Amino acid sequence: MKIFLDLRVNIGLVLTIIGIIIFLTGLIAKPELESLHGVNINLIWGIVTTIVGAFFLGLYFKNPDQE
Amino acid sequence: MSDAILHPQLVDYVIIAVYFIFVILVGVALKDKMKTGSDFFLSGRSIPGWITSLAFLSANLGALEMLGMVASGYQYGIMTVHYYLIGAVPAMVFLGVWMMPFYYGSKARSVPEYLNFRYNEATRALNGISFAVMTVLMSGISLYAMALILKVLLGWSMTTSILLSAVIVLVYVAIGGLTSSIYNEVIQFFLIWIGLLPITFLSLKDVGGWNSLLARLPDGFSHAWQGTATTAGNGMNVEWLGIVLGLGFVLSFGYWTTDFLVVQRAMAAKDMTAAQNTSILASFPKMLMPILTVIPGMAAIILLPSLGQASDVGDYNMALPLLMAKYYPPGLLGLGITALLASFMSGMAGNVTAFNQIWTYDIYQAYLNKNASDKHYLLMGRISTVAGIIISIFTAYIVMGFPSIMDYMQTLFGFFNAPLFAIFLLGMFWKKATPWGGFWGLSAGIATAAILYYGLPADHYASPAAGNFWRAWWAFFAAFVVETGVSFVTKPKEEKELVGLVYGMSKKINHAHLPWYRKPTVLGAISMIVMVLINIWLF
Repeated sequence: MKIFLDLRVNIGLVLTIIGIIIFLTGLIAKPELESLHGVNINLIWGIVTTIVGAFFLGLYFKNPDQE
Repeated sequence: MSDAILHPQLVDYVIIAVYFIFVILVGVALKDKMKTGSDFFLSGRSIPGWITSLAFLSANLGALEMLGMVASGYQYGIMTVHYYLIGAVPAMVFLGVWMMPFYYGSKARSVPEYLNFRYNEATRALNGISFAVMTVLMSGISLYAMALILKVLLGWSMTTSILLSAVIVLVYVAIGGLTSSIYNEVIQFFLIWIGLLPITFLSLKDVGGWNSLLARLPDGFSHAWQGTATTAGNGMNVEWLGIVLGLGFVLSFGYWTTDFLVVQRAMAAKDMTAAQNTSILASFPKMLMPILTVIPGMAAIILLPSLGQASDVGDYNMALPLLMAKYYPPGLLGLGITALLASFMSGMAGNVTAFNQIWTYDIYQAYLNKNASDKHYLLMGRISTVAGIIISIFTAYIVMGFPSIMDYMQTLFGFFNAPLFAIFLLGMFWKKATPWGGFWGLSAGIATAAILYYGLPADHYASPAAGNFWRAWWAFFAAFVVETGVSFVTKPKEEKELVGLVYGMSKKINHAHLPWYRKPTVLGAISMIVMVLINIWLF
């Protein structure tokens, strides 16, 4: 439980998990919304979200003791 | 369910669930840290500066703010940036550089408590009670707004939404106190950015980019200042003096420097420098927020042309959700909804944490039960959290009937915050301001706002926004004049009672040992310069 006291872990985990879910959704099927004009926004934004999440996890693992 | 705007699928609900689980986890993880009243109400004054900064900003990033600002971008165009620039930045810098030394240095636990130190018990009671009432009202408004949105968006019944979010907020605030609320505000800050940024990109792309957007907007929508020589020259119907005095000076300073909801975040910082820098650092992301609100709002004028105050397609406040429906497929939709939910809930949690502390320290401990144990006040904090949420739920059902949610919010601020700022200004910088001067100044200001609001015909001001700006100005003016006048005929506090509370009566804080990027004055100056540059660019 103690690891959840560090905000970098929380932000990192939430974004990474959500990012991966969105990425996988985009991988399985291309969105059908007309206004997207064929852009697979799930794939793109899933990756972006995962990277931001991983960045926060990286900050934590680089220096776990100091917030 | 069939007439809802969005049709989330399983994957979206999974994403929302991931967020809910983390919210609860954070609260539960913090449980063991909440040993004393100070831990629960003040986060033990131990939070690093970057966290308090983002929380400071996020406390003001509730659902009302987001939807209201996108709506305002739709109604008024680029002038909406005034809420983020002149309507925020100078006040945030002023708070950090000049006011925070007295707030943080006085060891007051709350804004009303500072008023008690500086003025008297009566001033504290007036502020504490009016703040508690206003906060619960705001909390109820958030709940109502959220339930309404979720009903239109997802087809959830209003009662389900209200109870579900109230229970989640209740759990994490009652267990984890202010720290839990602050942590969730920071998580929400990132969720809002990540969750809403695609709307900005996709809508800008659809209207042909920034320059094309400006070219396609109606007259007066693409300049922040150019149409403000007269009230008729711009959609907001307010002239530049109203913007500068009303929004830029009184409303903004009143809100950012005295509203305990935001000031509370800075007070939780671990040291004086972190406390000072809290609001100054927050001013930078604040200036970026229009990217998420004003730009989509303006793009919606072209993309969703027929929104009105109560059209069939949806009112202005629906602009953001409708854009989301347009662009977000299942998957990303879950993230977008999560961002909105997070903003709804942390807005409410912010109100609840401010309320439970004011109630416990400034009303309960001050008047009802002076000498109980710390444990007892901690318990009272949790009880008042529950009570505050129950009252919010009732309030939610009462709120209806204003043209734009934002105007309603500012109507309330105009009543209480503008005069409060006047007495803070005098109290912190004029040592001869007397205790009763403070009390009568504050009373006169609130009375002035109320008289103007109820006494003048509704169409006296050109628009609700102009009415709010001017009402706030006159309330401030009345408080300032009455306090000054009363101070000349009543007895001031002795100088030794004012040490640490008034400018010139306390030790100068020395920042010489800090690197430039941690000096509040340097950061504040940079922030002001950036703000001026953006204004010139958008002129």
